[in-house]
Amino acid sequence: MGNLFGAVGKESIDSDLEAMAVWAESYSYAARQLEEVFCDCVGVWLFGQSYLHSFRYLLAPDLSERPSDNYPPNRWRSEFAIEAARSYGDSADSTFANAFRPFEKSREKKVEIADIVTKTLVPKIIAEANDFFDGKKLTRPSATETERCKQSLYSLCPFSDYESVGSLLNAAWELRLDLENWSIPGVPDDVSDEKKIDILNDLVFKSFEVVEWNGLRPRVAGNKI
Amino acid sequence: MILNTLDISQRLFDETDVQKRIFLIPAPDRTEFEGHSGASIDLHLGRWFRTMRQSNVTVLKVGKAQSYSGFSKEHFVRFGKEFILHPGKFALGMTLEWISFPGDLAGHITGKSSLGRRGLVIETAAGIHPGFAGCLTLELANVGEIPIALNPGMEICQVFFHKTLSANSRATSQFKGSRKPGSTT
Repeated sequence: MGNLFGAVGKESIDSDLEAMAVWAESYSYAARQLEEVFCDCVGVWLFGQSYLHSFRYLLAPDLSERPSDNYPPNRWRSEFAIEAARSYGDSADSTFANAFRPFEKSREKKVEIADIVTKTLVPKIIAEANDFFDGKKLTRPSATETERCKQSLYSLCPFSDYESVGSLLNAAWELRLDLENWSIPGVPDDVSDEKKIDILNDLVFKSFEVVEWNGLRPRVAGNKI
Repeated sequence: MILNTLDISQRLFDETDVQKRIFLIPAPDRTEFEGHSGASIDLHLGRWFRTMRQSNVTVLKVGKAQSYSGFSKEHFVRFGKEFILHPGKFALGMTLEWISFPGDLAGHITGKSSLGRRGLVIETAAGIHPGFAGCLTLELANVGEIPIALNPGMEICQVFFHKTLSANSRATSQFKGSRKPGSTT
């Protein structure tokens, strides 16, 4: 770090203007990266496994270069998300991170410093995200509720009586990842996966719509000709 | 044999025999529903519509399925907003409710007289087979003289249930209807 900060010592690193100009950039990168990690933790808290599945669906296999130094590498993000899931009591697939390309090293020292800071603070951020939900009256997805949702979707019924939307999404992802074994009554067995996904999407979106409707019902239901 | 309100209520809310249940989502308030003396259940209008648009298509060959996404347009109307159906116009709509029929019930869907008196036709292909699962497509037409404002969430039609002479176990909850009007004739 000597070449980066010149002759500045540890004792004056937060008062020397030249040193501050350098590490302020690292600070900025680290702050942005930690925001992303916090958001991932919020996603994992709210949506459980389905957040991980969506993360992989949208970002894997991560063939491009690191899109921005304001984000931790996707491989790291996936590892942090797994760490968060385990911390919140979920079982997590240990091979999940393998969907992403291993991250080697940042191109710039300033970013590398930020990466190290981010990695060091992850456990604290995971705990912060958990604390964030204290008193918010939100419910985490549960295995029991996920199973209820799944049985409903299996029998071609939307499910709107959930406490956590994550349970519904988890159930939908479980079906989505096992389409081969989902035989839909009224639909030929050799139907394409795309058609099955259309039906699954319909069931999930209808579930959301019903929840929205139940909230608006007293106001909207008065609309009679 | 047609089901009355109490018969329908039992099918809706009695969870002891899943094979005979009618799944209606969202379900009506049980107490309020059982207070009715009729033999049908009211359904509400959904938020998705499909209308024909001006095009250079000269003829619709109805004998075979064809996509009409090229000369029709999908509309989404939020709760609290209106969809205006002008005189002489036709639109496809959907019920808000997702309904699933057991194997021993068929049904038919029909309009409400209060809407019919204003020129609104709801449905022409009204039969519902045992085992149907999904939202019901509405064939909305304004045959009156004045534009009609339709609000998603309003009561739009009613469904009558008929007990079949025997149950067809193969016909339980077969996926038939999606939540949007399809783009195929």
